[in-house]
Amino acid sequence: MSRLWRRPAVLVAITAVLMLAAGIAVGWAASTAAPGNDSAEAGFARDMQTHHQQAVEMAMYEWRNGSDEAMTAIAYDIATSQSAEIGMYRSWLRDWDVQLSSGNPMAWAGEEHEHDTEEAGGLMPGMATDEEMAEFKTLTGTDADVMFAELMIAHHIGGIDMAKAALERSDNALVVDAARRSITVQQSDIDNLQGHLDNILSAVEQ
Amino acid sequence: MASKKQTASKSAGKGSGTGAVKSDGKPEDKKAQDTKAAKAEGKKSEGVKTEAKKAPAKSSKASARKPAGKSSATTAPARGKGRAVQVKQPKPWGLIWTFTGVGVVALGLIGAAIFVVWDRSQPPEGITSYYGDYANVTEAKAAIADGDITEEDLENPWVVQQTHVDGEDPAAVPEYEVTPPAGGNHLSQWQTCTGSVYDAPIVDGNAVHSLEHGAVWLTYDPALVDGDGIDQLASKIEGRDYSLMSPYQDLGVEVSVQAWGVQYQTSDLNDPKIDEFLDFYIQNSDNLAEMNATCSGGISTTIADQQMPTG
Repeated sequence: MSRLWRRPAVLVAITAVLMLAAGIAVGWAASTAAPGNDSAEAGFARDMQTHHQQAVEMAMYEWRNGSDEAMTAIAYDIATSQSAEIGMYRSWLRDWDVQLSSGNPMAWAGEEHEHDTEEAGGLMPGMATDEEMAEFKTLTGTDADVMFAELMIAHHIGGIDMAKAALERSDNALVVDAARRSITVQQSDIDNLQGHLDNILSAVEQ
Repeated sequence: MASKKQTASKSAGKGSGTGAVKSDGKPEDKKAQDTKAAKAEGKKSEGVKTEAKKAPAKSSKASARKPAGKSSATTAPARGKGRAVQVKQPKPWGLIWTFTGVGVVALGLIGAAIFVVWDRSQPPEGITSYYGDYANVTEAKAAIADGDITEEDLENPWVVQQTHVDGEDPAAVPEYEVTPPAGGNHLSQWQTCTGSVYDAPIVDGNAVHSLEHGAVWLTYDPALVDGDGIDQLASKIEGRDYSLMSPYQDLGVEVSVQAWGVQYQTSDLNDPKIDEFLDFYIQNSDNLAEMNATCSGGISTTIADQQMPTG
């Protein structure tokens, strides 16, 4: 009699232990499946936060010192949305338990990119030089609007280049989704920056 | 063998007096021994060699059922073995029911979880989608990016158009195919949409920019909704980031809510779909025309404010 209730209890306990073990195994597999320190995913996330940081800096300056309302609006949009993306990249890196910075920018994106970045003194594709940033920060009003548009268009072209490099190298769902969105948003930003720039320049000519 | 059996039953008898664990354990041993013995017996008798090897426990049943044994020599040892193997145990119903129960509950939980996840990904029923064959802006854009279709193949190409169209002529404002607009090209300034309630009409091109940022725009017809109704609607929006509300002249229906590419209209201010629409579409990750954009920092003026200096 005692066997009838006792044995199910034992078997349920065994099942529970097995399920726990299976859960731990799945958790372990998932954690080991996270991109490693030298992966394209980690490299992309690391370099994009650095890349975005400069865009935020430019956009904050333009927001404060530009005069064209369309241009300062897009600057606000870039400053806030790219700041949010920086947060996203950082939380990936922390989740993956990898370094948040690296001494070899663009190393994940192939030799050509790495070489170009070294040539540019560590500047990733599209990034403004220190001289350019210094010059930009002397400008106000329409001059700032114009240089902001030029710098940001180049910056975004470089950003799209990086996102495409990530798409070629990764099938991580997070990275693929972010890279794709980044390409469409930055492309539409470029079109809008160019449109506003054309409006400003034609107004200046008249 | 017989002596072993006796010892086993003896100790079992003793055990029953001292503790349940013991009495439970011992018969197990006994059973094992008996099975071993049966195996040995089966090996000795030539007739049931193969049967005994394959399934010593079952062989007794099988041979017992056979109406006519191959030979009396075969049957006899088999029967003897059957007695040795074990008195047939009753089906362990407790066990079966326990596991069936656990299984049913587990499947139920898995099913419920799948349903909840699926259900959350479904838009509320009855809304108008301008995406045609596609579920949301992400799918429509992916189809274009993959080269499956071009923008013009979409039922409403404007669902993927996001250009700032403030022309050189400030008076030139974008025109929209649907009223109120639910996406498309727009002005460079977005309307501040941090749970913002406007008491006068706002510019379509600014509101559409807010939709691009992932906001839901609630509009009402001021000719059809009275002050109490407006307060009731405003309570849904106030304090809710990524939402905004404004009156819309000649709307023709009490309430129209729109997010990028989707719209829902109702004459019932208490329609629960209004809240469902807000819950589902505010910052919907599959339907974000622009990711990570904010609702703060836009313009917070109405059409009337903007006309004041000139008019």
